[in-house]
Amino acid sequence: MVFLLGQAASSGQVDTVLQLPQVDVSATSLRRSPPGDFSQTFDSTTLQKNNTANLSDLLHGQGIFIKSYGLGSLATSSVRGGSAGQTAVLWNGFQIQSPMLGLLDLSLLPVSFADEISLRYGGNSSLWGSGAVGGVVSLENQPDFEKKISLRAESAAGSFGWFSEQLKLKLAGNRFASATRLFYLTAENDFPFRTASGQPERRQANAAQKQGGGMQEIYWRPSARQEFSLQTWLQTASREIPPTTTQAHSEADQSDEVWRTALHWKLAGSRWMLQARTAFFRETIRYRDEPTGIDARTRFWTSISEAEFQRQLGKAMSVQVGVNQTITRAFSKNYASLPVRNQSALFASWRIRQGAWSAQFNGRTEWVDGEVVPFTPSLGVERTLRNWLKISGKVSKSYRLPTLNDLHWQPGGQPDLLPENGWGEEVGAVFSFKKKHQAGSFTASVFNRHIKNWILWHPADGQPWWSASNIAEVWSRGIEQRFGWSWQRGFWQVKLNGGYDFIRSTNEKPLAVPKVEAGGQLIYVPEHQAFAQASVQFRDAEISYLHHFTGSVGTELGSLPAYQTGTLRLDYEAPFRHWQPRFFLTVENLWDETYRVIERRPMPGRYFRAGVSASFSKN
Amino acid sequence: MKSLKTLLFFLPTLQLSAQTVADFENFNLTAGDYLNDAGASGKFESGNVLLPNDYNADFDAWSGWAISATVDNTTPGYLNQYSAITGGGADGSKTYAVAYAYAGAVVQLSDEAAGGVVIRLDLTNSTYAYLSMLEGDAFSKKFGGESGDDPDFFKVTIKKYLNGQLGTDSINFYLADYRFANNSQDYIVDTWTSLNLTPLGNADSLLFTLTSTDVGIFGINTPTYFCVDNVTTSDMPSPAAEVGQVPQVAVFPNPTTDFLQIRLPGEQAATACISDIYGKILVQQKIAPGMSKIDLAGIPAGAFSLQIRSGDYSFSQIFIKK
Repeated sequence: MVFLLGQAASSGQVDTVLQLPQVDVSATSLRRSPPGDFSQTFDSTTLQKNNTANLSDLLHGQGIFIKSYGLGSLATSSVRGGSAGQTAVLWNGFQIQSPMLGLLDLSLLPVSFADEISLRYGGNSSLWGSGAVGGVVSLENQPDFEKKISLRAESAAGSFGWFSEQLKLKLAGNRFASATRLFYLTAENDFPFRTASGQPERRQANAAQKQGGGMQEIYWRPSARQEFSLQTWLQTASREIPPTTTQAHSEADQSDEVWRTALHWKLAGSRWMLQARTAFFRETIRYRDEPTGIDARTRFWTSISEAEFQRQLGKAMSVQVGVNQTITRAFSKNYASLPVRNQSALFASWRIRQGAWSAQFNGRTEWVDGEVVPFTPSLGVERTLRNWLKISGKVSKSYRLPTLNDLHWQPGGQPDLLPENGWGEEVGAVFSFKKKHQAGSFTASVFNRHIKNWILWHPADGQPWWSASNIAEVWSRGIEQRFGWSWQRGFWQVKLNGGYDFIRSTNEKPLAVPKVEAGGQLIYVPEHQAFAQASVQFRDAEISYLHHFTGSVGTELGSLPAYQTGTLRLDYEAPFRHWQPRFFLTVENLWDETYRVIERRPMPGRYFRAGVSASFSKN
Repeated sequence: MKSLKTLLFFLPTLQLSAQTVADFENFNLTAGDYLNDAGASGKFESGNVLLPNDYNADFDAWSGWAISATVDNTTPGYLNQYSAITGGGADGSKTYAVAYAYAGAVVQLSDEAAGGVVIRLDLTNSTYAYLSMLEGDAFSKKFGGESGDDPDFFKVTIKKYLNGQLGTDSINFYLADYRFANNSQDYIVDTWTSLNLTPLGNADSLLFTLTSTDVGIFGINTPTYFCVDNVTTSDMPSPAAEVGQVPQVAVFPNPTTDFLQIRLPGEQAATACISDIYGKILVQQKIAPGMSKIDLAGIPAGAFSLQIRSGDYSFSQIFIKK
């Protein structure tokens, strides 16, 4: 099931079985859109509106729980009650989480660096390997051979010294296409806050940041059957680490340097497609805290090579087989040696479409440093019962490998840790309608997942340090609902959409330290989350309002109360010759709610952002 | 290794009693140095006490006790984990002991002190814990919390082991106390404070445990460190040694409020004397073999000595009347 955000109607997914017969190098892999999943795709309108945002802002805006340490600070996700490391993040099909930490700071991923972003819920390790347990976030870059030139520049400013500059230039010829993206962001983030009503106002300190980066893509299609592409992504971030609300001051800071390069090759026949690609990632993190004398540097590099072959069999079936080789090396003074992790994987998919049915079976086997990860299968099915009703179901196994820190950090790393793994099941239904002036949809999915060998760090028995162990077992289950409705007449357009998630994610085994009771909800996983968005557009002007509700969460110190936030946004587009200037104004946290996502980490009250962009394109 | 031996009049019933002070100067550290590895013995020895130390050379990690002469009382964080907030040992001395007591820390009594009374010791905060409580850090709260009104405390509790049994009596010392209604009275200990341990009575070892109000599902967030100096033990063949000859004598409850119960072994009657710290006898009565009760209604609250004499032996014990 695909739920298109920003559009009221839910549409069926693009079926690649039907796309393949043409010699089309833009055809997608079976891995990209398996039936049976609950997924959200952020359309170009949504991405354009969030051009100055980062991925955590975008996902939070659509009902994903984001564990944010504050404005501009570290942000990770929890999808379907999973941990941050159980969300796989893909960039053009490559996993980009840190192999040392197992997660990615979503606040460092600029939305403007992707042409399409999607979130696929549930276990997808059979397709993407380790970490695809709670969900998979995909960032895709796509060539645009249609427009000869396309330029978009955006400048925005906001409260607390926030400035954002964006530039995107796309050029295309008959065989070549290029895309250049640049961004630069600075912020003081010195927002005022109160720890409680009646308490004096305080101001966040040591929270400034600078981020800058560029991405260069080059596409070459020597023939209609073949495409080469090269993408390089460079980014730096320098961020001060603000104090907690119970810390007098902080002088800590962190700098991140990222270099990601990928080379793709695609060759398509009338009924087949061959892809080979390779990538090299290198990331450095330096954490400093001068008063305590801490200056910690960590670095890793990852080399990924992958090949996959996809073929259509008859009219109804497609198969795909692929291999993946991933080598990772990490550097830290807390590692006794320089650990190298060598992963090899075989994966295969088989899809059939028969009448109103479609089904896909996927399987993956992976060897990690010679140890085999048990075979990981999944089966998803979908059936269109009526033109207004589609149902789906999926059974999947998923796993997450221990991170390099889990294995090698000294002291406390355990080289014999097992992967977290377990089975998940889900069923879903999409009701949709479309009439002359309006369209609507309602999507519901119910999921269930057991993960064993869940890795936690905890004070080691009889030792003065913490240690990683496969000590927990977590049962996650819940229901996710989304609705959308749009109405259009003349110059007027009205859209409503929203969602409600109820998620229980509970520890199944009691633990002494951390103190966990059997049946207790995981910390920082809200049981209830809801959002609703309404927008009214008249000609080139639009006003929209987004409201969020996040239920109470347990924390390492107790609990945090539920909170609600609202965002008001105004957009206006004023076509001017070949240019399309756009203006926006947002009022974030409209109701000036005092809330926290993380213990002792304040969030800002009401604040503003405004920007102007200009687009130019020529076919 | 005896570092310092003095004589003093302790409790008159104990007669003239020698004491030994473990002041850790015997390690001859130069200022700024520390020892976190006790070697194969796994214990640091000073005076008549042994301080267990568990050191892991692979990770340069340790727990239990370290010996320190570091002087840094301004640098926050765990890289300065060996320093006392006083910048040196008690009474201007150079060397002191640091406990990393995430799961408690033990001081064992040795030689003449074994089974005897620990008279006193000096305690203070480590720089790491002190600055963490004063200013907070990324993991631990600034005491008083966001409002300054949180009734926080960081407490060390001392109990004794005797004959393998953990005593029920305890002595609590607040390394930080923010429970006062008037916040100006809130304090974090930043000087050496002498603690009288005689109420614990005879002991084979002492157990130190830490409690903090800054606690979560992973345990205490406050750095679980404190510093100790001048552990003063009694040298005389202690009452416990005598107890060794007449192990059946039992005195309880201790501390008490209204009375003492005494179980006397054998078949011979004895005389029980209760005296105060100046040696003044407050109560004297004959007790028969078996269970006897001494009424304490006539004596004020405080620490007293009970001495039991018979033809065959004499027995002494300190008790507390609340």
